[in-house]
Amino acid sequence: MSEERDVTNERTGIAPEDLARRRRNARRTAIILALIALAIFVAFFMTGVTGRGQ
Amino acid sequence: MSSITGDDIELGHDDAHAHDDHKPKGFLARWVFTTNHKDIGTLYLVFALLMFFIGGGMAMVIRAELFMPGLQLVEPDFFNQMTTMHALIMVFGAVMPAWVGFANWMIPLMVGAPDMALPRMNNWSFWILPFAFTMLLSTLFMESGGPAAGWTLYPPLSLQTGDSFAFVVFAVHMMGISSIMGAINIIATIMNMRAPGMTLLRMPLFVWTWLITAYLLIAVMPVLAGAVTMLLTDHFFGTSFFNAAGGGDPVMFQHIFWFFGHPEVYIMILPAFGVVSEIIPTFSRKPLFGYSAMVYATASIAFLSFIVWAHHMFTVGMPLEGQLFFMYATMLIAVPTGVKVFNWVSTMWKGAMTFETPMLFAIGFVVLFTIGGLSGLMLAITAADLQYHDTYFVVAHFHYVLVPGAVFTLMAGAYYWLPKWSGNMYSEKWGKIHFWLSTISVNVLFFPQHYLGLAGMPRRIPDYAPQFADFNMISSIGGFAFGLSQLVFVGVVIHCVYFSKKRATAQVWEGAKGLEWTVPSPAPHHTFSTPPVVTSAMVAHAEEDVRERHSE
Repeated sequence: MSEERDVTNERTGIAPEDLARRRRNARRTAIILALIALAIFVAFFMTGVTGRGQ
Repeated sequence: MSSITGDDIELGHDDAHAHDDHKPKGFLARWVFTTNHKDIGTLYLVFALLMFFIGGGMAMVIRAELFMPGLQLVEPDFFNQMTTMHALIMVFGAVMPAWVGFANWMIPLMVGAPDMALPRMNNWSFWILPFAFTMLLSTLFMESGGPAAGWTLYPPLSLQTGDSFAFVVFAVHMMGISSIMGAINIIATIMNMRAPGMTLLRMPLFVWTWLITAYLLIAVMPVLAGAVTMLLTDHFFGTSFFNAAGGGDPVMFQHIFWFFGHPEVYIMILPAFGVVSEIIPTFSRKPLFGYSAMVYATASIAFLSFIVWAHHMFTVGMPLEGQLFFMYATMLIAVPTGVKVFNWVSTMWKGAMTFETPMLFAIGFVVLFTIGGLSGLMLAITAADLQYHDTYFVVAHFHYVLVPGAVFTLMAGAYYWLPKWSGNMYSEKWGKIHFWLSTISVNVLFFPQHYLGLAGMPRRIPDYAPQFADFNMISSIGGFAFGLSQLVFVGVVIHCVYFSKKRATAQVWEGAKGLEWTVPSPAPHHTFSTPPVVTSAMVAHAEEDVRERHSE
């Protein structure tokens, strides 16, 4: 067991390469979702800009 | 590794004890700089409870003023500030943060993840909230007063707010940023951090409902941000987005607001569906009936929530085709919702049911939320809505959806998982007293409001005609009783956490199934450091289980 712990992340216990891969994927997911949210904000603001007086 | 419960799950040795005492020392390190999902979950829940009582205090002011006809206690403008702030605080400060608190605590435990995927962003998304609500509440003490145009912030009325309006808009922006960051974190966690074997269709319903809720949040919070930004520029920078005199269109605000506002209702209620779908199987000692149908029904409700927004605007005027479309689309929501109610009842059918406090609140939810759903169907009928619109019938409808709906399930979830969080059992006797006091008083509070609305009493008024006096008095008495009843909940929680001598086992409830019940109670500071191996026997409603049951 102790040998197993030597190769794992101290805080999470997950193998470093696996944890790094998961965190990298999570960051990518987060960036994509944040960009989608930003695009929706801009789109609706532009709805206001172009929709005046319609 | 050692096997802790069952033959099919293996937990890391450190789940049981070793990491338990790795809590940071000192208040700042433990609570302000924390990146631990359980501590952040606790922060969210405590914050939400505080906001629940602040928003509840405002409701008491409203009901006290409406206790009898005439102006008794407050000025009309302050009354309008109370209705507006009550709604903003309950929606954005109490219900939504409470669900994020549940998500923080339970989703990593339910999917076998060591923490949320982005722990530092998790800390940030919580700590924005106290500043946002301090700003919002501070407007009550400003010369121009707080917002008084209702939580919908319709222009041109909302643009008559004084300089404090900038604080309101900035507070809404901060709440939105917090919600979006929380939603991103939840999606990133569910999509990337699930334990081996935790396939999508093995996830507990609470995780599913939150996944769909998180997508809703990302889709609609930026819409609200866009709407209030335009209000801000109209108010302070001379634009005319919603000012007809400048070529703008106030009705456009209503369209944009409700494109956010209707999905927002489901943001508050979908996690409630998830909690009830966890509790009813546990106390019926049966797997959830129709697991996959529940998932598809949740997704259907989320989709439909985007195409029904104009049912809030029937009285504005729209083409007949538009009225028909929004009426039928709204009625269509009753189908997946009906599937859910049917499945909850079917889960209870012939189950070995017991009625602990979480189950009582869950059953109370099923019955009373259905009342709110049925009055929603009445409001969906365009011709009838012209009569009901802006009356107390609408107030009764959405309070039935949100109080015995969202608030009851928050209570149900709190009682259900409190032993897991604290390691102690709460007082079942006082929990049941809380349930019965809440159930009786909430009906005394809101049911008479249906009659008031049908008789024509408008909403958002501090005074009313004498013929509405009796039902208003009954409603106010119910309101005071409901408010006081919630103090029982605070007492139960404090007693459970600090004074209860009855220790909780890991499984807590006899019928409970799922990863969160395999870790000790209280859940150690770090859990699933070594990912568990999840198999179908471990999961309450695995697809294999469903197939096996169907083939029997």
